[in-house]
Amino acid sequence: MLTRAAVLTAAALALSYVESFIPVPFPVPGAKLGLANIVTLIALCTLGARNALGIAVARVCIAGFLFGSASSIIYALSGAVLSWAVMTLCRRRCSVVLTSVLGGIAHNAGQLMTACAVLKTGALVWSYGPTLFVLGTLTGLFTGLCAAQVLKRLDTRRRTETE
Amino acid sequence: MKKKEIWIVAAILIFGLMIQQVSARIRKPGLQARVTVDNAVVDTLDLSRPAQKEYVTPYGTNTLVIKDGQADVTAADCANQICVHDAPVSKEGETIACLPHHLLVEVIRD
Repeated sequence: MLTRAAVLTAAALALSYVESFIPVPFPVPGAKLGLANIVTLIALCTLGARNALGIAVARVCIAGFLFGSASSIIYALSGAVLSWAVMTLCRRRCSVVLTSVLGGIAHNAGQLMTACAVLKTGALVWSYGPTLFVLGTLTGLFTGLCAAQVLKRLDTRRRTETE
Repeated sequence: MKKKEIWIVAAILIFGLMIQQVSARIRKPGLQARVTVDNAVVDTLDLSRPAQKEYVTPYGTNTLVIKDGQADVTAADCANQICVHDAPVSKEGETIACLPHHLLVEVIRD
């Protein structure tokens, strides 16, 4: 269990790093694909909610210290934690892809709320909110489809191992 | 993914795109750019008058340029440069935010 969690954290860190090389054609500067969310989803489905939270928080903190700044961590963390909470609630009823879409929207909502708290104004919700909602849906859809593919292969492998 | 969920995702996406398009289209042209730091108004500039100003906040410095009825942050000494890459703003309610410096440029009408 601990080994798997550590491997997933390392995979998430690698994805966070790889992501910085992918140019994003999004209209909002600073928007990212959120590839590391693939790992959070896989952890949520295979290791349970608690481990998924641990992996997500560890990844955000380490990635923040390695590639980002201290101030960027609070945005990443608020997004990651809110997204984890929403995905944990959804996972029981929804498919991986829908869970990921809702998680993507929640991630952006969390970051937007933190940004409003830092600036002490709600003006950002009106100006960035709608675009972030659409972007969260699209990136969530993409990471969800990726995670679903990985999970499908993990499942068949485990089945053949036990046979 | 079940068929039902494909429709749910499609509905979420269409809902989001509608809100985004409507909010972008109903915006009226703005008249002034208001600069705030920690939600305290630092400056208000007319969009009709070209200008270039530098704002020194406790956290860092940003340069704001007013040109062709648009406000644009052209320089900042922050790490992420997101506000510099942000597109110029000219319509009511549009913003440019520099989160590391707690600085917000907001287009208003009065």
